[in-house]
Amino acid sequence: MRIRKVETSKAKEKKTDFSNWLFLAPCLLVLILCAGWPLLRSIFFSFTNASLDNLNQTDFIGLENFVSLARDRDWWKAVLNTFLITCISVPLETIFGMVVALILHTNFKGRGIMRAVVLVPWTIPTIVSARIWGWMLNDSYGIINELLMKASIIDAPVAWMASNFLSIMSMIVVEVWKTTPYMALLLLAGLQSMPQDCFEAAEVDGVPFRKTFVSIILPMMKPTIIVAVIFRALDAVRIFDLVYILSSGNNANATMSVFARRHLVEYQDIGFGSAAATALLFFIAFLTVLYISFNKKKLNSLD
Amino acid sequence: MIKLENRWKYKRWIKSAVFFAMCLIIAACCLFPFYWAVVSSLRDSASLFSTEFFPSKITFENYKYVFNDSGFGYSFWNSTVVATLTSLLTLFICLLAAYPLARHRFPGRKRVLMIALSVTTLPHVAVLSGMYELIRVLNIYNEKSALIMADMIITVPFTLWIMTNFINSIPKEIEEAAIMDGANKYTILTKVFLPILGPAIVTTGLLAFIAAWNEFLFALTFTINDQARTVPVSLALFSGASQHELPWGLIMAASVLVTLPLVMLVVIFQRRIISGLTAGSIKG
Amino acid sequence: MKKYLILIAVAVAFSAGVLSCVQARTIKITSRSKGVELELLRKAVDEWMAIHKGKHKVEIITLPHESNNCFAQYQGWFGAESCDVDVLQMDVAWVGVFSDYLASLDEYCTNLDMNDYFDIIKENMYSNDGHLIALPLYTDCGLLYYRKDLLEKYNRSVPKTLEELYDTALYIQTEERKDESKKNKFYGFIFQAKAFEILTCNFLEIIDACGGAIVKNGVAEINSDKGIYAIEFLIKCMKNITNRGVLTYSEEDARGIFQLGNAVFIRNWPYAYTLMNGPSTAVAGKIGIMPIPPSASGGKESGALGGWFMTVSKFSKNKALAADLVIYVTSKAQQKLRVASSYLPAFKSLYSDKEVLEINPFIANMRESLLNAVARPSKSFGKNYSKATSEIFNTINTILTDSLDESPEDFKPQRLMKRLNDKLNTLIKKQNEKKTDAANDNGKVGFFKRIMNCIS
Repeated sequence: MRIRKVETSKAKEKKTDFSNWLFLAPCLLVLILCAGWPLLRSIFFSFTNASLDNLNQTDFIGLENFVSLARDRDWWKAVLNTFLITCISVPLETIFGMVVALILHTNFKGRGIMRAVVLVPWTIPTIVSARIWGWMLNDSYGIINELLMKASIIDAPVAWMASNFLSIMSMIVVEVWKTTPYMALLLLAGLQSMPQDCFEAAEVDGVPFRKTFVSIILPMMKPTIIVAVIFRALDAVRIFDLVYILSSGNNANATMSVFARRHLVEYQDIGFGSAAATALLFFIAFLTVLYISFNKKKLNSLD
Repeated sequence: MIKLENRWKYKRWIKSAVFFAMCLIIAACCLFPFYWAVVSSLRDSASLFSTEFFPSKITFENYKYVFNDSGFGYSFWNSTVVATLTSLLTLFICLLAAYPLARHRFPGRKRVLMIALSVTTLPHVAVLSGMYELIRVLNIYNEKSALIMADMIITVPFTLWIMTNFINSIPKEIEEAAIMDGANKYTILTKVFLPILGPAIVTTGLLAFIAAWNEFLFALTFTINDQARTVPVSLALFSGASQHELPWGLIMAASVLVTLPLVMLVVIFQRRIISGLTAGSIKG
Repeated sequence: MKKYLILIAVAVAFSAGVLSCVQARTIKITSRSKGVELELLRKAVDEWMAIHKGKHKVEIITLPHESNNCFAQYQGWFGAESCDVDVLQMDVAWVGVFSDYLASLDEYCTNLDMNDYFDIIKENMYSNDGHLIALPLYTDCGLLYYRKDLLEKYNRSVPKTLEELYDTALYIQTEERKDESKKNKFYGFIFQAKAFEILTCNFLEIIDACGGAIVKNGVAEINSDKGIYAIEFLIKCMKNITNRGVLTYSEEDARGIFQLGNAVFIRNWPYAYTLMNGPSTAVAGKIGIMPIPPSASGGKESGALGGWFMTVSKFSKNKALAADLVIYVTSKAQQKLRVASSYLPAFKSLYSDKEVLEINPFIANMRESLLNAVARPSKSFGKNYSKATSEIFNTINTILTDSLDESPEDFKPQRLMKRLNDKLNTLIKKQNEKKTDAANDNGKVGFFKRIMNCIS
C-alpha cells in the first residue's frame, strides 16, 4: 500500500516538473537580472578601458588592468588593510560573541532585557554607528579622548583617524562593537541546539565551568563556530560603509571595496575599478566555496 | 559540613556578582554610543563640545532643524518606500520560489539553492559597474525603482534561504489532505501554507526591511539629489550644512531619528528576528 | 482587460519619462551648496522667475557637498548625454575638464563687460578654442587668518614671509601653552590636510608662495627644488606648530578649532570670515586676514583660486533660457548681494564700490589677493584631473602622515614626490594622447548602442 503511494507521487512529480520552474521563475529572473548579468558585465568591463562617462566606447585591452592593479601599491595597501580588519575583528567578535552567547544562554531574571540590549548595536544602521563613533573619536571634541585623558591614559588628545595604524584599529573597534551581537546570536543558536542536560549534569557534579566549556561546549560547538566565522569573514572582507565614513579619504586606509568604488565612481575608471572589484570577487569566491562546503550538510538536510 | 555549605554559598554569591557585573559592562558597551548620540543631539551649539554625561540644558532645536529645513524628510520617505516595496516584492517572489524548493525534489533544485547562497556572499562592489550600466539603459537612474532593483540582490537570496527552511520544517501531513483533494500547487501555497507561515513572513519581511533600510553602497552610487537619497546616504553626506556650528548636533539628531524606528521594531519583534537570523545561516 | 490597462499605464509612464526632457519648461539648475549659499541662489532664482512672470520654472538640484562626489556626478551626466540638467554649478577647476560638454555662451553674452573680470578668473571662463563657456557666480581665494589680539599680546608683527609665519606661530604656541588650560590644545597654524581636493589647494598655495608650480608649460614640476622646499615647509609645520588632526580636517573642522580660540593662524576661504566673527565665537572682532605670504627664498603672495562658475550643458534643450538664467544669477547686482555673506565678487569694480565696502569692509583687502591668486592646473589634465588631484592629495597626505609616524631614517619624502611627479607626467601625456585619439575615431559604436540600433 505504502509503496504504491510513493510511486504515484513520483509519477506526479514528473508531471509537475514544469510548474516548479514556473514558481521559481520570478526569483530566478531577479537573480539573473540583478546579480548575474551585472556581475558578468562587471567582469567583462575589467578587461576593457571603459570609463564612466563613456560606457559605450570601450576597447578590449586584455589583462592590462590586472597588471596595473598588481603594480598598484595602493591596491596592496587596501588588500592588507582589509585582511588586517578581517583577521583581527573576526576572532575578537567570536570571543566576545561567545561570552555574550553564554550569558544569554544562562537562565536569569532580565534575560529578555539583556537580549534586547545586546541587539541594539546590530540594529543601528552601519552609517549611523560610523557617524556616532566618528563623533566620539573626534580628536578635539570626542568623548573618547576626554575619557582617556581623565583616566590619565593619554595626556594629549589623540587624532584617531590621522594615522594609518590608529585609524585601522579604530575601525576594527567599531566593527567589533557592531557585529558582536550578530555573532552572539549565531553562537547562541548553536548553544541552544545542544542537548541541555549535559550543562545541567556538569553543574550538578560541581565541574568548574572552565572545564565544561573546554571539554564539552567547545568541541560540540565547533561546526557552528566555523560556519559563523566564515560567514562573518565574508562580510568583513567586503567592508565598505564604515571605512567610507570613518577614513580620512587617504588611499592608505582604504579597503578593497572602498578602493574599487573610488576608482569606479570617483576616478570614473570603470575598467580598472571593475578589475579591482573582480579581484575582490576572487578572494570572496574562495571563502564562499569554504562556506558552501560547510553548509552542504544543511543543503542535504533539506532533502 | 556547615562550613562547606557556607563556602559554597559564598562562592555562588561571588559568581553571580561577577556575572551581573559582566552583564552591566556589556550593556554599557552596547548602549553607550547610542546614549551619547542622544545626549549630543539634545545639546545646543554652545554646549555641544562639553563632555558632561548628563546634559544640563535640553533643547530640541536640532530635531526641529532636521525635520523642517534639512530635506531629511525626503530621505525618510524614500527609505520607507524603498524598504517597504523591496521587502514586499521580495516576500512575494521568495514565497513562490521557496515552496517548490522545500517540498519538491526536482533536478536543478540544489543548484538553485547553492546559487542563492553564493549570491548572499557577493561583494556588492563587484556588481556596481554592471548595475550602473543596466540602470542607465533602463533609464531609472536616481529613481527609487533603481534602488529597489539593486536591493533585491541583498534581500532575495537570504529570504529565499530562510523561507525554504521554514517551509521545510512544516510537517508534510499538513498539505497531504489538500493534495488528496486534488488542489493545485498555487491553492496549496495560498490556502494551506500562507496562514501557517505568518510568523515566518513577519520575520523575513522585517529582516529584508532592515537590510534595505540600511543599504548604503547602491543608494550612494545610484542617486544624486536630496529628493532621491535614502536616509543612510543623506546621513553620510550631511556636512557643512549649517552656518554657525559644526553640524554634529544635527547629525546626531538625524542618527537618533533613523535608529529609533529600527530599535523599536527590534525590541518588539526580538524573538522573531533572532529565530530568523539564526535559521538562515546555520543550526545545521 | 486589467492586464492591458496595466500595460498601457506602464507604457504611458515610460514614455512620459522619456518625453519629459523635451517638453519641460523647467530649467534644472544644480547647486552644491547648502545653508546661506543655497538661500542666496534660491532668492536669485525666485527673482528671475518673477521677471519671467512665472512662465518658466526653475528646479534646484542639490548635489553632494563633497566636491569629488559632485564632480563624479557631472561626469556621469555628461557621459550619459543627459538632459536631466540645464545649468551646472561648477568649481573653477572643472570648467577646463568639462569644456567639451559645455554650451558656448558667446551669442548670449554680448553685453557683458569682460574687462571687469579679474584676469585669472577670465582665463578660466573660456574653452581652449576660445569660446565663452562659464560665468563666475562668486570667486574665492585662500587666505591666511590671524589673531590680531595674540600678535599684539606677544608683540609680534604680521608675518611677511612663510618663514616668519612659522616662527611667530611657534613662539606664540609655546607661550600660550604655558597656560595650563591650553596645554595640549593650542596650535600655531591650522590648515586642511584631509586627503581631498582641499589639500591640493593648500599645497598649491604653498608651492606658489615658494615660487614653484605643480604644472608648468605642460610638464609636472612638483618635484622641483621649490616643490621640495614647499613640502618640507609643510612637514615642519606638521611636526611643530599644528595638530595631527589636520590630516583629517576639511574647512569646517579647521574653523572649529580657530573659532574656539585655539590657534593663532588658520588657512581658510573667505566664507569663514563672517562665521568666525559671529556672535557665539571666541574670536569675534579679533581676526585679521592676509594673503599667504611669500617664502623668503623667493616667491610671491598667493592664494588658491576657488569659487564656483555657472555653465550651461551642451545637452540642454533650453539653452537660451538657461543662458539667460546664468547671466541673471551671475550678474553684478547679484554678486553685490552675496557680499554680505562674504562671497567675493568676480568683478574688479565691485572692490572699490562704496556700498560694497560699507556692507563688508574686509572685501577691500581681497582685491590684492585675487590679483595674486593661483589656479589649479585642471586644464593640463582634462578628464584625468580627478585622478591627478587625488594623486596629489594622497601623496601629500601620506608624506605628512609619514613625517610623524616614520623614523627619520625611513622617511623619504623625495622618493614619494618623484613618484608623484612621474605619475602626473603620465596623466598629462594620456590627456594629450586622448585628444588625438578622439580626433581619429569617432565612428565607434558601443555595445548597448548597437543593441538599441538593432531594436529600432
